[in-house]
Amino acid sequence: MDANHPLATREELASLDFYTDLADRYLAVDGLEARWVSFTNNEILPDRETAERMHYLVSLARAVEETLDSAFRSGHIPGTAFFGRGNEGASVASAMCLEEHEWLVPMHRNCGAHLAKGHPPRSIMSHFFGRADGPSGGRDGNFHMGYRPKRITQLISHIGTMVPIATGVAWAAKARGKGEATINYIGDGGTSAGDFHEAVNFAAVRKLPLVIIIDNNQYAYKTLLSDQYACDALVLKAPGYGLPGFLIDGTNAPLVHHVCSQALARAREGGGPTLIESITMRAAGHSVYDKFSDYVDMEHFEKWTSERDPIKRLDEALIEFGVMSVEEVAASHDKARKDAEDARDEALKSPMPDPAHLTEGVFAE
Amino acid sequence: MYTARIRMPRMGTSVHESTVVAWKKAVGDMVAKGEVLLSAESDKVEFEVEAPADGVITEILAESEETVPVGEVLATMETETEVADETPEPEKPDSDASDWAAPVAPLQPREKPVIPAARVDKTPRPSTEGKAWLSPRVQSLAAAHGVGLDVVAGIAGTGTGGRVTARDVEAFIAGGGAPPRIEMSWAPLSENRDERVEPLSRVRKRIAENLTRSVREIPQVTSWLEVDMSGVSAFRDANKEAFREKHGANLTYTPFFIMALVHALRNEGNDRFSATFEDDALTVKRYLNLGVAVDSPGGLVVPVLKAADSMNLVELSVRLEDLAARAREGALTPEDVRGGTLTLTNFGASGALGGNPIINPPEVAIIGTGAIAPRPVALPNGSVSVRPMMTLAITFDHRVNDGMAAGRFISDARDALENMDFSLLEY
Amino acid sequence: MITYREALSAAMWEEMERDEEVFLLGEDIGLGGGAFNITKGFMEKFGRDRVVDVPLSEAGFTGTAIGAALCGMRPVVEFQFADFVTESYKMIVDYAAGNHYRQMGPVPIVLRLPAAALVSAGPFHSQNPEIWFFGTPGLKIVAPTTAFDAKGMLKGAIRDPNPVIFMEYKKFYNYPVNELPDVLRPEIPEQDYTVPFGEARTLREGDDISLITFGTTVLEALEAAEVLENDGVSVEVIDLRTLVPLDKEAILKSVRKTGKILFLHEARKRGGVGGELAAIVSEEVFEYLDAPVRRVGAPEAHVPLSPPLERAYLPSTEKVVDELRDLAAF
Repeated sequence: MDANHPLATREELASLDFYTDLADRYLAVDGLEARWVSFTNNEILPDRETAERMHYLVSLARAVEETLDSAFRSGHIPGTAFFGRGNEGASVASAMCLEEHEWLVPMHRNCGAHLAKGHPPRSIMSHFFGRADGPSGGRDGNFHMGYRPKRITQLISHIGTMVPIATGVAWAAKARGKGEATINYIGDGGTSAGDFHEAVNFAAVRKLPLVIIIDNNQYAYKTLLSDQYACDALVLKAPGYGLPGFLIDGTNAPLVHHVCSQALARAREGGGPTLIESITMRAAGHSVYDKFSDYVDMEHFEKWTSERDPIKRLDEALIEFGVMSVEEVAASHDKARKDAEDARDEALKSPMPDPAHLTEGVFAE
Repeated sequence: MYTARIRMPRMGTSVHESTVVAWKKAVGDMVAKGEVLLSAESDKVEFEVEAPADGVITEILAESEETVPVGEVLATMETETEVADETPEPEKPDSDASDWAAPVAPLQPREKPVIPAARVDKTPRPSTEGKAWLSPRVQSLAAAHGVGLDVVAGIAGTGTGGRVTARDVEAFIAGGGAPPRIEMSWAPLSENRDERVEPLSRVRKRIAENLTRSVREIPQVTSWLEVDMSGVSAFRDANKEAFREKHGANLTYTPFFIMALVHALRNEGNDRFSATFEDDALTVKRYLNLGVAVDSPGGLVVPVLKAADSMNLVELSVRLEDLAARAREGALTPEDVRGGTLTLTNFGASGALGGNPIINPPEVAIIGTGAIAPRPVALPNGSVSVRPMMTLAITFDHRVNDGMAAGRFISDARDALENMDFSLLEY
Repeated sequence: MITYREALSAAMWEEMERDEEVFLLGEDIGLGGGAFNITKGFMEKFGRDRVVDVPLSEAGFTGTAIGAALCGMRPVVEFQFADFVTESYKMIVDYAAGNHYRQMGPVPIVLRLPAAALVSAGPFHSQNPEIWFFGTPGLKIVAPTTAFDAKGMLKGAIRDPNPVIFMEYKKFYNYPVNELPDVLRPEIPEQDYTVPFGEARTLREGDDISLITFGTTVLEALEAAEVLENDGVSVEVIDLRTLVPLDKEAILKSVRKTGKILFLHEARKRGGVGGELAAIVSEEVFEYLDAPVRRVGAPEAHVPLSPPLERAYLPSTEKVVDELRDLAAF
């Protein structure tokens, strides 16, 4: 093996086996009761209503992003676009656990979380297309967005910055004593930012109602995990902050739902934050411009996407345990696809922002 | 039926060419709008090219694996609806865009802005040539009070290097250096709204008779030109105090006019303007008895300065002052107002820039001088300068003289004023 | 009469009593009462959840305050020294400042920055932070110089729906009230009041030169104006009080009167607010200028600690007088 060739580090990556046998690496810290459960155990499957909603949202997340991807390639998206392909299951299943009045602090691979929290696809499309009726009125684009009507904070480009924001949202929830909690996502790269440390530490000190999900998708842009951190798993940082931590398979949506529900329940009761490391794989480039085949081990990629595609796994689990029929699953996919395309068609009719309003709204009145 | 051209799209700012990966359709295939025709890739991104409308593929021009420039036609289609053929603008190569993998994808290629030409006003502003720099505030103050910049530049400045400060201008204005602002009133002129009858005095009657006769009998024409009085003005300013002390008379502009007229009369052909015309005969005078119009309390009187051609600056000044004083006092003798050969009237004393004087018969011409005032002047080199300018007018009797001659006469007088050699003057 | 420091305390105390959503975050502000004892006794009264001793983590607790503000709370963040706000720069400039512009709602947060030089406080406890924020839209920047303004503007800042960079001057915290010029110790009313942002205050009327300043240098400005009065030159002194929003009209009006203007601030001239103000003057009232626009500010150096260096660095009454005399003679 040529030491200068990037394949040398791919070898290293391949030697990390947490994605082949997560059960062995499951960690329970601080005595919190939680067990690794495989998706073959029907005990963790949600009820039929929840499962149907989960299935539709996971499918919608992918349909929305694929529709956006093709819209980008037809020139409808100014700037760039980042997608969360491969993360739809974890994103939807976690955000679904939030109540209507609770806040969500998402990242840029959380189309699923936006949809699960109630951000309409039509609004997401308008935002990507730079239209006047998008949530930022064309003042930002791609997944740099929030949606106030559904209590979703906005993302800014600075990775790590959203963790202190989430801490503040959790602070407000606690100060008002209404038993509310919040979820924040951060990537494997984001855990290296100082803000992550400052915010998680403060949340732990003050026992804030916060669930932090590290979406470990194996790449921070083009940086390998082995160049990002030296511990065996990011969840090992949890005991350092005095927090419980979970390492879970993020491609197993029912499992994510199960663990997040418990973590949120604990947070709402005043038990403090939980750190969850959710393992997925970014099944696309960092952005639409990123040719990831240049630096991703494509053999590993093929194997992962064929075995651990979150949508395929959810389809199979729901059918196998009789929660949904084959026809119902197909109909759910069709509806998601149609809803995404309708949203796109509608959004493309939206007006572009008027430069006459360029300098309005710098200050709140 | 329409023909649509499918072109290689631009996928990113710094993309200049892309490679066809595979055709999904062949010639003769029916395709629907939005259906993928081919897949392609640039060095940055994989992408698909879709059918722009429903139709049939008629020609494929780029084979798989072929790398073609952005904008090149890849295929043609026959379509039901017209499809605009948009050629992506050629992109300027950017410095090092490959470093940054998320450049901005333009919605539309940048168009060079079309900005209509506009005329920039380069008319020279009044200059303060050679004078100290005037601050924006000083210039605004001057404009607001109607004071010329040359006047402002002449104020003794108290600022750095003698600069005229805004305070200096304010003091100048407050000290009467500038005309007081005039308040407009909408009150009636008189509450009584009646009229006033003024019977003409004897002097006035004679003036009326003379002028009416002049206008009725003489076909008279006026010409005028401008005289740059810089030289005379500077000489006068520099010497008037000393002159007054030495000779007890004011050094006015009038003797200079007279000297210039005398000089001009000496030139060939000009002597026909010091003359009288009576009984169909022109009598050219070989001397100058110059009538000088004086404004007296009783009205206009024209005492005659006899043998003006034989006097120097001092004599002219002393005699003029004497005549003018007597005219104003009503102490002129009949002899004083007879025998004129040419008249000079200074309507400039009233502030008028130009005028149209009327000949005093039986003379054949009258010279008028306007107010001396700073005005922008185009210099022969094309630059513009502010100079003390004066109009010099001549009204002549067209029965005995023509315009050419009259023009030559006052041109000569002007040249004499502008180029006077003061070193030869006795004073 | 109360001191500037007591005025700040009173403002926060009253606002916390008035509105339960108001809470304080900062290092050592609870148990310790703050580095300058401004929040002494607050924790006993309002509890540790409204007077929050935070871990040493400026970016973290600023972000936390922003998150709480997004939910409608009214956090007041105390930085121990203004200099440490650089730790939180992205949180303020990238998140808080633009949130409303990006249509994501108001961020009602107050950032209290103990600013400017004291005596030999050195490079990291002496800086004037307005130069780091002045170019960012969406931030209000205020600079109270009197106890009256300190109280009224802090109350106004807490009630403002926008992020407010609240510069407070260590030099004034405990300045003996008796030694202040009269114009810098206006009566503080018994009843509740706020000072509106964007209204400059004329500290001294004059006809010959406009001296525009803000922050600590109001003292030097007033002293210099007095010296010039003895020279027979009448100097108008204006305290801007807030930089964003800016009372532009006050500056322009004064220039229209005097035709000569000097901007004075403690921060460096390069990149200082005076440069922007000078540009505004020359763009908008050029025709009224009877002299070049001039500035007095710190030179191109970091704030030094040793007394002779610090004295040479800071704008002084002497420097202002020199500049005013130059302008008067121009």
